[in-house]
Amino acid sequence: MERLEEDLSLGTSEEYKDDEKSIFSEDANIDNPHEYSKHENLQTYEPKRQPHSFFYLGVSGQIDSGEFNNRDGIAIKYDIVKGNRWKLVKGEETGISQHGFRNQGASKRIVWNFPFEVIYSSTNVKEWPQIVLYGSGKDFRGREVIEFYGSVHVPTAPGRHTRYVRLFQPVTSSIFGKFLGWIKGNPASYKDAPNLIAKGEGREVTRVQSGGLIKITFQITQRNLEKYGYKTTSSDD
Amino acid sequence: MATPQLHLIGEIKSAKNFESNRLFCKWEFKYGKHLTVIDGNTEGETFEEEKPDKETAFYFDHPFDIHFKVESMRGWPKVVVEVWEVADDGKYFIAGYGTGTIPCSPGSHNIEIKCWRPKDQTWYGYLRESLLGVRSELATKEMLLSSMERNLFESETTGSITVDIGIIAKDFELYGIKLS
Repeated sequence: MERLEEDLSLGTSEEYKDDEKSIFSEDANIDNPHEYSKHENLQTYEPKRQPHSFFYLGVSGQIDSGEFNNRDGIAIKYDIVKGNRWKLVKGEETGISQHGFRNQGASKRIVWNFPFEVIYSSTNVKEWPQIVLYGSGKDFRGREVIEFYGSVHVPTAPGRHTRYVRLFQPVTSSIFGKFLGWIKGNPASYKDAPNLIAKGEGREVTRVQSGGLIKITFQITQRNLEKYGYKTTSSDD
Repeated sequence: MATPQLHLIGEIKSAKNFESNRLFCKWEFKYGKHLTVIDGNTEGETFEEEKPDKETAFYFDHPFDIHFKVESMRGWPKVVVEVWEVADDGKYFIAGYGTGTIPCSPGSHNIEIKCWRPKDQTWYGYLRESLLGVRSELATKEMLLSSMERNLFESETTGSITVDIGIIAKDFELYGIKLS
């Protein structure tokens, strides 16, 4: 069966038979940036040598559920924001969930169970990816309006993590502004949303009120970070 | 040889058990002279958040991503927080000072910084605060970081700030340093 996607496999069994191959074998596909041979995978960390390949970070998980104080019918949109050295290898960086309504009983919990899975490759750990969340609901005229914002860093240690993210709403300072926003279907919103939320710049002059609390489960896998000398966890392998 | 590098990636997560309903937090990472910041902001201010009475905690979720070059183990970073509350008439009062030490071992950590604020415990000080609205602040902030004498003033305990932090360390083993 022909593999149409990029082949990230660790090498077939034929390569193990020939011990005299050099690191850069002739039939290596140098044009594929994710190609590397198994020899490099087995080498120990050498600080002066630049590794031939990237390191990979696999982020998978789901946006489980959330609790909002007095709102219902919220859809969650996520966006993964990262530095420009990080390249997306596989997966979708953005997605919108369904409009979730809570159960008619007493519980305030809205469940989306919205999965995401991305794989990134990079050469430097800085500007670690963050997930920015937007919560949108329909206003009284049926228009889709983004009202809530929140963000969290993707966890740095491999394994399973649960994070609770607060979604907040910006507050307009005047009552008239709030009324206008309600009429036009355009409540106070951020003009430069990804920078303000993900980078945390300009937060000192804004006022917010809390909207809801979202639970996200992450499953983090890493590959080759130790070849670059990075230690992300204390447990020994 | 490669110099050890340290990445601190995380959020100033939440503030718990403070009395006020409107709060913001000024945070700063303080480090010794042998550490150099390569990238990232080491200080900032969170949102001013107002919460309804029935919730118990404020969630700031203020992100930080700092890259250090480390040349000595002395002066490992600490995070210093000042929590300010906003009274109903819009005046700012200090609600707590706190210092938290950043852990050394790589991985995901959650640190809780318990905060205090200076408060005169005599009846005279109590009257001044409740009738005249006079609140104390610290004049010199260096005492938050060092173990120098704190001049024997009185303080009371307020709430706590939690920080979610992920630590990535590079090349410390080349110098024989064990971090975990």
